[in-house]
Amino acid sequence: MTAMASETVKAAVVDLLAASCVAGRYRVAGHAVTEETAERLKDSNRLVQVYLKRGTFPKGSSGKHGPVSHDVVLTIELTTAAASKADLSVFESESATPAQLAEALAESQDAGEIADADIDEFFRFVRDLVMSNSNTNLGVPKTTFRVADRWIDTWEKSAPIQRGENAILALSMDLSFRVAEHLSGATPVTPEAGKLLDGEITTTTDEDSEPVGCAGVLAGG
Amino acid sequence: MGGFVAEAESYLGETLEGYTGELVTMFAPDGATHTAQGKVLRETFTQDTDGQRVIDHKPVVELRRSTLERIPADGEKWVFEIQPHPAAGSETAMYLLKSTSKEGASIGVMRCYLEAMVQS
Repeated sequence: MTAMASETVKAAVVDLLAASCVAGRYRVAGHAVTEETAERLKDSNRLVQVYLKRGTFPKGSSGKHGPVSHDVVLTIELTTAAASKADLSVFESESATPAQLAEALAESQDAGEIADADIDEFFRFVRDLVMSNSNTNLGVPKTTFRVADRWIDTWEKSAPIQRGENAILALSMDLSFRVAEHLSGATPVTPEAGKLLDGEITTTTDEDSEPVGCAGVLAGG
Repeated sequence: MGGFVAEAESYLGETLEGYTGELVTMFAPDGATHTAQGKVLRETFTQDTDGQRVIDHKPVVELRRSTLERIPADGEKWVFEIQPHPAAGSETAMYLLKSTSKEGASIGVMRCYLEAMVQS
């Protein structure tokens, strides 16, 4: 069974994000990660998850026998983690002056503050990538099919949560687009009047070998 | 302060600064260094979804308000130096003051919530 166009777009967006990742700055998952573990956070503090969230098939813009319009919402969820930072060498120095300590204190950054700035930058990067003029088809070759009405409708940042010394922050954006879906599976055979068709009929029987039902398949479908 | 409250405050000398008391060094926003004796409640352990142990580097320091030269105000950045491990003579580490608790203030306790830091 072939993948739906929406699934192809999701896979292409995952590939697009993975291909644009420079020097492991983030990790990409083509599904919703239930919970981020400390072990994974140790490797990289940024994660992007891509998954299909919902879709509608508008009846008015779909053909009865032809392709069906599919309005899809793809969620792109960004997660980042950060620990508080300061120039610890100043505090550890025996010879640090009060002025140097005051400066190091003023420049220290809270985990939540760092995570917030980091996720804003991460969002800017991903949004620029997805909405770039060179990605109007979201990474799907235009010869395969067209992706229409690509747009980031909404985004929302969650409240930070604490995991160990890290503040973890998530930002979720909804990317909507429209594709044409083709029905997969067997092609139905439309009988023509007066034409003989080959076929196969399978009967089912009960324990007394009495027929209780049958199913037929016409040749070619 | 009088009666029961005064008595409770005097007990802090034993409960916070007595045999459980440890040296706490505090760096104020103006760069001044203060020291105090206080009780350090150390890391707790939680488990993540992989069953691995996660150390919450968020110690809590309880101090006697009356012994402090300056009390951290809301929004001020302070760095606390404490021993992450209670063993005598172990190394100290720096923590950023996240917030202070108002509870216990009436009997002279100040609870400081700290957060581990990494080198910037």
